Amino acid sequence: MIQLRHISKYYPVGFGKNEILKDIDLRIFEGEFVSIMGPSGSGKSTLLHIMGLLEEPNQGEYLFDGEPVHKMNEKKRTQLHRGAIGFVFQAYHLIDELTVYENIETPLLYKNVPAAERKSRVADILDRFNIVAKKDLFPSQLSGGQQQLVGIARALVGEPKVILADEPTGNLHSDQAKEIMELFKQLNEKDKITIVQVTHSEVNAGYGHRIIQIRDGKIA
Amino acid sequence: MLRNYIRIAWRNLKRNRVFAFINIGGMTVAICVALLLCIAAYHEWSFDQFHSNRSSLYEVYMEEALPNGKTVMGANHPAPLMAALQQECPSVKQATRYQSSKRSVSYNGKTLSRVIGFADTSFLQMFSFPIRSGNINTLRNRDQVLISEETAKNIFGNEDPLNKIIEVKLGQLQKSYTVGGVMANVPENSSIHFDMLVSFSSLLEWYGNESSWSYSSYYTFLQVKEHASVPLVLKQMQGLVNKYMSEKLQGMKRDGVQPGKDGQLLTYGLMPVGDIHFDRRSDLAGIGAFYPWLMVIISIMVLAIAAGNFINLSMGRSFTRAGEIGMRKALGARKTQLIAQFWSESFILCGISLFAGIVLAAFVLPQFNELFRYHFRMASIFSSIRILSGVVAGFLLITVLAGGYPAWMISRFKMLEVLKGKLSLGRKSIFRNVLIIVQFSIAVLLISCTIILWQQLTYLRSRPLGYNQHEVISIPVNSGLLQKGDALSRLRTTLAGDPHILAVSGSNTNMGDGLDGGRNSATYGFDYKGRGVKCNWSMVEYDYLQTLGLHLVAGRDFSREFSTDSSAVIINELMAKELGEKDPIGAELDVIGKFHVVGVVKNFNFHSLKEETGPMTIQLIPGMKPMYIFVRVLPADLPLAMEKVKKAWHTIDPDGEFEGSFLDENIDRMYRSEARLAKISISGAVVAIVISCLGLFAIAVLVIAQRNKEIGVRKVLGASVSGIVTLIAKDFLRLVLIAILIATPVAWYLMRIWLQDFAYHIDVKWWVFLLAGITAIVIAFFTISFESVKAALMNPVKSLKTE
Repeated sequence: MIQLRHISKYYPVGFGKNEILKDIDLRIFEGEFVSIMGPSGSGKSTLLHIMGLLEEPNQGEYLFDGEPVHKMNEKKRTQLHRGAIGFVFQAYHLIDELTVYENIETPLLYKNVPAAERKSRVADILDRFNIVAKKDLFPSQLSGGQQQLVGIARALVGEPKVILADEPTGNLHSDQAKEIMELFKQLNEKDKITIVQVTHSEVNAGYGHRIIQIRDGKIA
Repeated sequence: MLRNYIRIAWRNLKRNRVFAFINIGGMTVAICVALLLCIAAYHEWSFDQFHSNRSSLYEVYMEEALPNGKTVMGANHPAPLMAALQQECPSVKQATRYQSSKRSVSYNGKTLSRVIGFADTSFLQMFSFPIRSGNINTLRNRDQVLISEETAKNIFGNEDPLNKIIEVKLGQLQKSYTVGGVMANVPENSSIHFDMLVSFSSLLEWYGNESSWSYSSYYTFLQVKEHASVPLVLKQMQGLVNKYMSEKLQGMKRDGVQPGKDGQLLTYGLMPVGDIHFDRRSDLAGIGAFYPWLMVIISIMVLAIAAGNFINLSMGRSFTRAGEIGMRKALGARKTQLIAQFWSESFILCGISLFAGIVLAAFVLPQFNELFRYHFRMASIFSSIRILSGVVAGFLLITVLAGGYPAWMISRFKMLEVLKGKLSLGRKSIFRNVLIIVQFSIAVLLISCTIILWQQLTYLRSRPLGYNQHEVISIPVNSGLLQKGDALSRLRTTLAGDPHILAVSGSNTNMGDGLDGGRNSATYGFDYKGRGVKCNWSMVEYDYLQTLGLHLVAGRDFSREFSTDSSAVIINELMAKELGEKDPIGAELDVIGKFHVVGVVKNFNFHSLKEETGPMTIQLIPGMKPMYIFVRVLPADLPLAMEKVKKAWHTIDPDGEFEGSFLDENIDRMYRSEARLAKISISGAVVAIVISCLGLFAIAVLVIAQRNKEIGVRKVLGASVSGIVTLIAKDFLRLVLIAILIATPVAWYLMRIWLQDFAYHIDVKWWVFLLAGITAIVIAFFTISFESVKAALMNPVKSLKTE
């Protein structure tokens, strides 16, 4: 599914460079649930961003579903964004001006899904996450856990193959975190969605099949 | 998708009421101002464009070399020129003479004052003034008249006007005309304006100088034949000069006039009819060619300021919306989709502003019409396809400029930086600062121009002209009364003994622009001691010097005790210089008969101050029939004096209209176009500064919001309120200062060009720019300090807690 070969990422600092990732080789298979762990500044978020096409590596190759992403143009990347990848963020990043319903609907708008289908898909997701009653509320009217639930719903509505989650429970207390992790597990098992999460918590990491430790830009 | 955009735009508007208000308010005012000014400019440009033959129609003018090496241009021609053009210039298809004047017209005891045009038969074939009913060949008959639909309605009501007989007073004559046809009303954007049209020969019948080449008084238009070039026509016309004006040419040669650059003393020239509205050489010219441009430039400036606000606010706000933009990108929005979203937001804002601007324009239209002497109506404005499409095009352009740029910038944000909250502000604020500088440069430019315009206008109105302008009433004598000729003596008798009346006299020339419209003057050229002398000539009655308060410097005033005064003249100092006499008293002038100089008066400005005053000769005609009567009144109670004169006038002319006015009003009227310029400039300056300050206010709000934490920390560390206000204001005031430095030389340069139009003008003073600059800084400072004081007074704990 995701194949990284000799990926390096660095920022220029003065005359030298600050290396974030050093020659990473990583393979994630379809249907896997992978947790990336490591201390602050070890490069785990950068790795996730590279997988999610939010950032470009300075060196190395990236194959998504066997296709070389590093050779794709802007248009194809956008299509990958729309179709294959869903994001979940620590800070939720819901759009404040839109209601729950509209937030979930937005990715479908960008995919040019017809109105009727959009309606039924958003309704399905709302139903499944038990947030139908909240569909007309704005993000500021929800608790953190509920906001993250909406965030996941929004990531899922586009029916992605992979969900990339950057500390999805970082801002939540443990009960809520557990709920979210259970949801991920269920999505992975029932819906066969590949999940890659970055986390600090050993407990959360334990939900995954595999834990990748990153230290000083290298897989330990 | 579109619904989503609109929805989010609407929610954004509601959430940020202050910004929405500033954006929409500024844009509304700007659109209203721009709309009105552009309509006015369009109206000016549309002058005389409706003639279908306009590409081949020209007005004839003549360029005459002067002894001092300069040239004068004039568009008044002798009567036989037209026939000569048609017969002797093969490239001229046809020609017409034209003259118009206001006359009293009566029918069935009803008297109206209407503009009568005198024209040759070819006039209607050349110009596009369609005839609605009646005989197309009316102008062939001396005793027939064409009248406009409106005049027909005014005179005849619902009666059929055809073949009715109306009476028109032409000077001493009272002529009867049969209505031969009804014409469409002359459009407002026509330089040639008349209510009725009669044949030119009936004017000549009255004036009686049909074949004289030395009496030049008529406008002449010609139509060039197809495929004939203007230079060719001019060459043929030069032949007419040599053939018919040899006498004048000889006189000029004798006076040592050097030929102009084309080697000729007298040259004919042609002005395209489509341009005469802006051509100073034509007597029909309305306003200077730069006025409509000025209106358009001010419109663009005001719109630019409002668009600047728009861009600054969208950019500023986009930092707070960065999260939304980044998220949308992560969800798969393409750049074009983001641009479309932000553009549609500005489209909505501009759309609301456009609507509000049009409504506002409709409300201020009456005031606008009054201020600038137009007759626009909203309904007719928007029935013009051209104006409508212009508005739509302008609107789209504004949304693209004001909304497109921020949208494009926003769509280029680095998604990840946005999501990480690392968006830098420093780089973008250069553009913001440039916009603020541009806005304030425009505002300062308009403010300083306004001050200088105003100074010059005040100077024009208050400069001593060498005669009493405040206490003298000038009354135009209408044609009916003029014919009787006893108006002056009767007014003298009626007003005699009244303590408010000091002196009464008459003349054939007015001072300034009277209520009867226009000014008139006469110039005579004659030989004095073997040299050609040219001077202004005015014919007056007794007591003229006393009435107008002219100062004698030598000799004496006209007096009833000298019977020889019937051939006496008084000259001004410049005329004395022109004659070359140290003591001109007793000098003999041989003009149209012999005159002797009895006195010399100080120079006075009988023309507008745009022109240098020139040599003047005042001739006494005892018992003359003056066209203008002057009454000098006691300064104690001017309105009462005016009332008395008016009452006295009504006993003399019970039916006529009293058109008397104080001379200073007449002088004001001379500077109408300058006053109009000042008004445009003032309105532009006010709007510019208001919109700029709105924008500055909003930017201050944004910047303070972004620096909230910094302000909090500084306060905790012990910064004073004034220290914080200075901190914030400093950045902005620096921009205003730069704007002043940019605007000052531009204003200085523009105003110097403008002032050169006047023979008498003020000097541009340095403190004007200082004043304009200080005004801008003070206004800007108050705008900023309003928000910054609020920020400085805020409890620092509050701003720090939110982090």
